[in-house]
Amino acid sequence: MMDRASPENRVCVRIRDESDVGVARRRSRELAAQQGLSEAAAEALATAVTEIARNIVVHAGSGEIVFGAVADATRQGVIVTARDTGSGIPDIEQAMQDGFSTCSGLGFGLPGARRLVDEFEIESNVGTGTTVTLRKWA
Amino acid sequence: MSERLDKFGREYIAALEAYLKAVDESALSRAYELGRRAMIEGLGVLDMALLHRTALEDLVLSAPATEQRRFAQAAANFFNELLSSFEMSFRGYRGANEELQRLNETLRQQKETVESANRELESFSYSVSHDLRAPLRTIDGYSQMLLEDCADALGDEGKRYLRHVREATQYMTQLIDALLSLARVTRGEIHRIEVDLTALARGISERLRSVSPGRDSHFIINEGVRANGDARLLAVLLENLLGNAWKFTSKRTQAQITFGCEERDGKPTYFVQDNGAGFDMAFAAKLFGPFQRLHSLNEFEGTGIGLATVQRVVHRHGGQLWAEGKIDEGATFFFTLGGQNP
Repeated sequence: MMDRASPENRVCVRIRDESDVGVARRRSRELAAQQGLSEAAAEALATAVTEIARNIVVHAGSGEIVFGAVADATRQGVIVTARDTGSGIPDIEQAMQDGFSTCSGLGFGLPGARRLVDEFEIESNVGTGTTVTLRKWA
Repeated sequence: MSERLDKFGREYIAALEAYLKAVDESALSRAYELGRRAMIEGLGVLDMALLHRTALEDLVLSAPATEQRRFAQAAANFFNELLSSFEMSFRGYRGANEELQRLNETLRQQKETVESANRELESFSYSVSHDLRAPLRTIDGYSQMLLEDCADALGDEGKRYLRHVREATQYMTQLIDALLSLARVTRGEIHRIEVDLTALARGISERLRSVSPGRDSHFIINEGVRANGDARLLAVLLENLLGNAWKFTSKRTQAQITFGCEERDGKPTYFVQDNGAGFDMAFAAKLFGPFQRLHSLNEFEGTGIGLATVQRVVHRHGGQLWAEGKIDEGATFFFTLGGQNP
């Protein structure tokens, strides 16, 4: 069965500064609870969302994060799509390696977020911005 | 508690207090930010546990009994949040560690492949060099017999040609011997013992002098130079370095060759210095490659393998070899021999 995200469950959070990070985290937790994620899974997702949101604030300046419910034949979960219209990432492979961020080697940022979720996709075009999609299953 | 931790602790207590007053997400994200900063500043999980305990004592235990239950729950959430960045980082370390192990395994396999290829190559070059000597002896032997027994039939021209044949075969024998010596230096285990280099150098200098007693030469060999290394290999090394010094000072009216040891960067550094033909520092990098010669055979004979052999001996000891020199002003070769167990 295909992924189906019910549109009524979609929530969009605009990310412009640090204070929006908290809003994104709250949405992430609400949806995680609704979708039956364990507390540990919800915490991991909130942490990943924090890193993605921080990334938008620090690198792109502004963007948005859309939260949605997702389900397939056997499970349900949360899908998070973060978009910005910043300058984009010239070398995604490099950006996804630890040690290229400012907090070199601590495993924060995009690589940290990837390890906290079940599925992680990133698409970036120089000049048009970056889209990161996370999925965390219950 | 260190000053840094102390300051951090005050911030933590203030942030937790704010969260207990207003349980909301932005107050909670403060915990996350603090955890992240703690990691960057190099604080550990146990530091966090200590901070949290102190905060609990300050805030929760002193709260009214009716509030304690709610406070304890909120504080647990807050602490959880503080530790999230540690969790993220821990996953990163674990992932990196797995990757490192995988890469290490690849490296180990590659090293094994290279080592086995090297061993094959060594034993190949050893047996080839070895097998080449026998036919050369035959060629030289029969050339000599021709010169001695058939001198009349050969004529002067013929004898001259044959002498060239003999010179060439003898040079080739020297080359092969040098190659064999190079191969021997590479093979076999290293047995480190205390070696009296002064005695070794003295023996070599006496032998060199006895070969051409007419030369005016002066050897200065420092007393009490000792090294921890393989006696057989160190003898090969000194023979080559002193032999070189002897060879390249052959055109001096008085040759002066010094062997000694001095401390450089805290390491015993051995040296062989001569006042011979020297070399151009621009070619210093070429000195130690096999078959590299900076002088023509007409000027100085030689195989071009001696210094390559010296370098292998030094490398097998985990040491370093380098040279300083100037054309017509002599050369100095320095070497170290690494630690006890390289």
